[in-house]
Amino acid sequence: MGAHVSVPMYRRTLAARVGLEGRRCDRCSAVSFPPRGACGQCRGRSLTPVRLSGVGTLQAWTYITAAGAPPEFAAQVRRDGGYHVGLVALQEGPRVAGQLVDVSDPEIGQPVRAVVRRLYEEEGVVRYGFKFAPHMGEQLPAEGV
Amino acid sequence: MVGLAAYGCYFPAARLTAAETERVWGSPIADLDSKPVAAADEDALTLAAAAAATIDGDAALGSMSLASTTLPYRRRVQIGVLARALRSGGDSLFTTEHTTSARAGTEALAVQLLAVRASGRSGMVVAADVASPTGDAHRAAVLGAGAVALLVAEDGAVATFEASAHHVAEDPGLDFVPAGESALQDVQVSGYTQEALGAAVRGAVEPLLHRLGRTPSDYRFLVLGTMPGRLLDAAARGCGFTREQSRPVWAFPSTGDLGAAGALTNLALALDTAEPGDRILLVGYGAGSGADALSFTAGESAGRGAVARALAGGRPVDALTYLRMTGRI
Repeated sequence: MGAHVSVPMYRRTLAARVGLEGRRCDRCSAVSFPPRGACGQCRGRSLTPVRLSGVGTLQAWTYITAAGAPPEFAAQVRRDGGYHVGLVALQEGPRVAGQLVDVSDPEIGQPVRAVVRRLYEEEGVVRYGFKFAPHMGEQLPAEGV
Repeated sequence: MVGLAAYGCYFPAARLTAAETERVWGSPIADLDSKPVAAADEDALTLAAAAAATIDGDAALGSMSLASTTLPYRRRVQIGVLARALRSGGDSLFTTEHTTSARAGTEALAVQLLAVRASGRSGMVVAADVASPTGDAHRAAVLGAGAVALLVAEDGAVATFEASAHHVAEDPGLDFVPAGESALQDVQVSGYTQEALGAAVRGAVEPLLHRLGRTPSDYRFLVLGTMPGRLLDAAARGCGFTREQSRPVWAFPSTGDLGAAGALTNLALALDTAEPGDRILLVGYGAGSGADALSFTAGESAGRGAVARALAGGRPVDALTYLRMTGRI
């Protein structure tokens, strides 16, 4: 299965992919990420953009070998080999999947933080997005609208 | 007074050490203990975003300048990714991109100092470079990867800006990339390279000292780029400074040549070391040639250890991994 993101889709989702912009429900305060049109908890349709901290804990991970990587990541695995993918519980609530970087032996429960990396280049357009790196307690931007 | 309010650095985790270089290629690179190597999913923009993220969030940026000689595209506005990562941007953000030489870092800083002074709003300078995957192998051997971010504000708690002077001349030297090519080429005439560098540095430093009524001994640090040591010493000596003023604020042994990010990374090292009241003379040089000289006085908030923190915890890689990561094989 591929991981293709079309240029129009990339453009539409850039605020979430690079700026970690989610949505907070005005009715029940639940945070959705990636942003949705309606609240996943109460189905409320009044949502306010919210910037997520990108900090979370690793809940599960797997390792994708070079041979098993989607074709979009061929250039990455040619240079860096296989890579880890993790499921991360963000401190604002949502759970998201993303590649893990700068980690050779991931541990469940490990604190991680989102970093901007290249996802891949296709049709001459580089797609950027978040991946997760170990969180060493560095100061992070405050959550805010 | 306008100056620097915060700063931070980022270096990729992978490191090629002098021991590994010597093991595989037979001899170490002069002065180079270790250098950061960018991963396949890192480029100058992601490095820039990582350095900018080390600075406390400031949604009220009025301007931003990006400096790099290795941006992913040759023609395109590229600072938007950085603005987006910083949760800034839109109609009210004035941006510039500086891309043609190692002088780009100080060009960007000079622009931001002007912009902040004019607008009264904070500005950010981010400089980043990664090693070029092609070109002369000897030159490539010293190229590192890293980024530095400086927050410029009306209240320069880290360092206040005093004055600047600039020099430009037609004087080919050191390195260049011809139009339509990507490989960094070296003129490989070391005596001439040294002469061109010295002339440009003197051309910026001497008028600045004259205007401020100072001599080199009034400065604790002379901050130059991440150039090899013999060039650094010659450039410092050529304008009346000593090794004791330039070597302690020279990140090259731990970073390699950081190109457009070199002088500003060395500035961060000076700010890490400086005591309040210390004077710092920053000089950015670009082959071709031009130089910017900017004078600062360290403030109460200097001395944060940003460079050492960013360099801590690197992961050594072997030579084969290094060649694969840099795209040379």
